Amino acid sequence: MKQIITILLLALAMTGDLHAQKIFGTRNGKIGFISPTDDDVKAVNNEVSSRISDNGQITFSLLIKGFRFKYAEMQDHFNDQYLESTKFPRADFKGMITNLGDINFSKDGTYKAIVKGDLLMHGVTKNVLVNGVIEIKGGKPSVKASFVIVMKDFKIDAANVTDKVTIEINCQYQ
Amino acid sequence: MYRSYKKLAVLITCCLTASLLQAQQVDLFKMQDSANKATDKTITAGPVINTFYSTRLVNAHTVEITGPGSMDFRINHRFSPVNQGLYELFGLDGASFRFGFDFGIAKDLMIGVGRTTYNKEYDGFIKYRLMHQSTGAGAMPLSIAVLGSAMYKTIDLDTSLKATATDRLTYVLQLMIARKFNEHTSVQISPTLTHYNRIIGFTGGSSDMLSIGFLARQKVSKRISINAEYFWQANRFNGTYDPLSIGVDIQTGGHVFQLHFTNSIGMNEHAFIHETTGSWGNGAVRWGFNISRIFNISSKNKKGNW
Repeated sequence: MKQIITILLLALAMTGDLHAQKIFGTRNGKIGFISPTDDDVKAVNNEVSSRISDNGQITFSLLIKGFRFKYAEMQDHFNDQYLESTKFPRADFKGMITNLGDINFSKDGTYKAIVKGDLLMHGVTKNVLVNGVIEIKGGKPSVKASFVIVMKDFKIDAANVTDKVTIEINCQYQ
Repeated sequence: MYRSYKKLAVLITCCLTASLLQAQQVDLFKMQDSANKATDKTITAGPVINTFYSTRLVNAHTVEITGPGSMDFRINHRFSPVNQGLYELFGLDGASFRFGFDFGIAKDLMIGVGRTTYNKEYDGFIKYRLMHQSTGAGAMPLSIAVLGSAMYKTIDLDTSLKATATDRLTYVLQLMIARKFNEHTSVQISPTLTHYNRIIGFTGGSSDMLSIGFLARQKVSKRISINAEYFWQANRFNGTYDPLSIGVDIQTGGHVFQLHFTNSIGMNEHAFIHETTGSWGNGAVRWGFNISRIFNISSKNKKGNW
């Protein structure tokens, strides 16, 4: 019996030491974009899959066809001519929070985050650096960020529409 | 005693599992890759877009429908036949045109009105897409649309004809069956029935005419396609030819410019199908262009919705 108690205590001590990895996810994150030169050129995708972990990893995945535009015609052109969504159906991001030490996932608060990672879009992978905000509220994080991408970097030939777009991210995790 | 050994074993197992868990951190990147792989199978499902660049190829309707809440302002312009020589600057001195407004009503429904120089005709149409070609599970192989249109002549007619208002009306019913074979090639077949309340200015033929349209487009770049359109007439008026048009579409996003050569002067259904008096054989071919400009007129789409 004594042995059992010893082992029980030992086990408790070990589990207390255990730092369980926290993973949060969402399937209906929001990613939108807008052209800085023509505010009609904008769309939003409400079906973004995203995960964030307190080990610093953050991922986003979305379907190009899921972007909704104001004009049906614009949406068709976007899919057919610019993003070629039949050929390249998905955009994908895998990144690491570079200032993980500044963020406490178990304490409510607003933290600035710098994320560095690979953005895959239109068949082109490019390393991007994004400044965003992680807000922990009731133990659940939400992420807000915005950054500019240049269409040419992703071999998107949209020169007669816009040279660059501002990407806006807004995800609430569970 | 034996029981406590069992408990001990359970506890040891628990401890081992716990320490194993700690060692194995979940890699979100790998998680993302496997999730992506899983959705890859369903990813291509959906309707096929841009079978044609526009709702018209040259004169004929395509299976495309103007988006809901959009208005398409269309100007179709045809010069005179090129065989008129230098005096008429190879036809450029003469002009015939149609301007019209098309409206997208619902996802698969559009209506439109227009007015043509030829016979000073007004026309209206309604087009409904019955089936939309799609990919993925339960894919539709074809797009099918149906068009009903009516055309009304307002040109002054010889009073001896005693033409009534109903005499001036013509109706067209058209079925459009199209398939986009790949990114570049799309083909459409359009069986068409035309009913003339009264045939004015032509002999032969009959008041009910059957024709079959063959439409094809071949994309040569992302924004440029080469198009051809031909209607075979089962019965025809004397002195008319089957319409054949060959053209180029230039898509610029919001605008579509269509440049072509055609032997038709008319630009609404009955006029271009059954009343084409020019022949490619003797050079009675016209240069022409269509311009399509899409406007958004829906108030449903509020700004800043994200």
